[in-house]
Amino acid sequence: MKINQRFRNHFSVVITNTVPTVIGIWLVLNLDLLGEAEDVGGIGASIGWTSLIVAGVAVLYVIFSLINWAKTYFTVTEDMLIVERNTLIKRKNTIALKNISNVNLEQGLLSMLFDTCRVKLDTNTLSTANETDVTIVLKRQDAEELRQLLLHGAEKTDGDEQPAKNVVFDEGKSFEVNTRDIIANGFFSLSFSVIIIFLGAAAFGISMLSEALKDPEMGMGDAISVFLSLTVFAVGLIWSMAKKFIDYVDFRVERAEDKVYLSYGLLKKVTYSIPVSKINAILIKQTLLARIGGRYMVEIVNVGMGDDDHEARTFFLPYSKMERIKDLISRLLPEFDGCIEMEEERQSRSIWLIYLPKVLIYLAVSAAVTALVYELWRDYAIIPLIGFAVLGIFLLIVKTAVYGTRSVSLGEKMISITDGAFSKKRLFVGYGKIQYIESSQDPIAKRCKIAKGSLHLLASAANQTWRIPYTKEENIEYIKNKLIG
Amino acid sequence: MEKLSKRALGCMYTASIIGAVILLGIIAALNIFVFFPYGVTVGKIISLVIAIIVVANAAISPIFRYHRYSYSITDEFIDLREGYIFVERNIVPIERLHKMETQRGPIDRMFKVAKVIVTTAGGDVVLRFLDEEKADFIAENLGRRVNRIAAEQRESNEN
Repeated sequence: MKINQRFRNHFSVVITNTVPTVIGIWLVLNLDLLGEAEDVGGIGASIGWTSLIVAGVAVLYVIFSLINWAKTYFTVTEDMLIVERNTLIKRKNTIALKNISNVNLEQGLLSMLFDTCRVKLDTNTLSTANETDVTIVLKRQDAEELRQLLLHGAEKTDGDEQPAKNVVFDEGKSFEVNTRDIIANGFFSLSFSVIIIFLGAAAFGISMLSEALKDPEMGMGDAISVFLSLTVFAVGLIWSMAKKFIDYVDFRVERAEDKVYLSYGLLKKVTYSIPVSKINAILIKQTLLARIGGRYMVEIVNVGMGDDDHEARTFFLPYSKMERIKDLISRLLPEFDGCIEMEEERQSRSIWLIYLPKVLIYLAVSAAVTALVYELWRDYAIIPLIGFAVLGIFLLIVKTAVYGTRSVSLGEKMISITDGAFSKKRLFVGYGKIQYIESSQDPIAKRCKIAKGSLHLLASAANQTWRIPYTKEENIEYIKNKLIG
Repeated sequence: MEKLSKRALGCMYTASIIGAVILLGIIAALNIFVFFPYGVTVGKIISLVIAIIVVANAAISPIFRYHRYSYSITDEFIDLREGYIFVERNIVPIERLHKMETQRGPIDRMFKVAKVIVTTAGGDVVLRFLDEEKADFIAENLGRRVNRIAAEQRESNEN
């Protein structure tokens, strides 16, 4: 792979795109032929015509895929990636290499057969933040060279024939997880809702099982079916943890100069190359289990990570103790070194006054609905009453947890905001990476001289907007002044 | 901070009245087809309360929103304040702007007002109810400033 070399996708892309469709059509055709065999000249004749049309569509699809493959070219120049599609509609897409926020190499089971890799790249723009900008399929060696060209090509000035530069990892700036880390990560990743569902199902199952054993009329069959349902549920839970283990086998993070490299996977091998300048923030997350166990997980916020389903849960550092997280951040992302020490400023107690009107509205709605049900179905009025009472207690617990979790920290170069109730996530972002801020005040907040708001980042949809919890009015002014450095 | 012209108040009232008429229509339909035929007294009371709130809101909210609405555009920021019960503030650094757009809906055209939508890499902020000529002037001016900032950044990168 060289600068200014024009190349196509690997031919296997035609096979992987068309074979599943052709097999599907072949199956449909065979079913149709069975129909024809039983009913010659009747409905079968019309099915025969349908089969012909379907087969024609399949052939057209294969031809279309071939043309698409033959007429799609890629060229990497010193500072651009050019994608040309000379099909029915001619398109030429030029992407500046300096805008690339993430290059991702993927190799699934089918790709392993052809020894190919999928090169997926994202650019630092909001309009395509929720999708991969370009996907190219190449032989593994070529894909690796293309990645190097994309990440380093913009810096090259001397000669087209220069071979792609190999990545030289900075000494001591790498981290490899072991089996224990991945198992611990799987365990601490379990969310509050999963634990509640599991405990609920376990309690229900055990009570059913003991009832079944006590009751001679229920018989052994019922007991076995309850036991089996419980087992299936437990296996499901263990599988969700085991899947994380399989996904993250051989997980490795490395820092080389101004880029971070992440790689992992057994059945699907994935490698990310991320320029540090395109990392807009880092996120430290804790589930309820992790909060109890004192473990923290780190994710990075940029354009490209998290725009595919499997990427949405990709971590930068797995659940570990704070000392280890601090050490790894200082080695792998020194740009964020020391940020964790920023002092968290909790919300003022006056926010309980702000909740008061909401409580009154909740009570008024509850009373109105209960009165309406009482008038329409007198005997069932107790149901909404109990429902609203239980929901009210639950909301009170959630609000208390939220109050104890949310915070703001304002540093010299960075702001940190913490959100959550039972789980917790803390975002660290440099003021220069904030696109704009919003603040909001109701009359009570204005009287208490506090305001809440949100800050907006260049990131995939899930990480674009971050809530600023209630904080002093003057803190909003402080953030405003820091935005322009 | 700059305030809006009287044209904006007319636009706010029209939009507010249209919204109120739609809501009152829904309430009326509920009463005609459900609450009155089945004699649901609580339903009638609740809908009366909601109707009073809707009418009061349509009458009062435009005045509050009109007086609360203010904006300033300096060399460094766009600072916009708007709202009724909740007062919201948007602060956009000029150097983060990517593009500007003016937009006029049917009600806007009736009152010769327009919106200016400023786009950053993190989303859009909308300056509403601006006099048409002012909206055009702001969009043009911001566009020039953004181009100047981009040129300065290019120059500093080359050096």
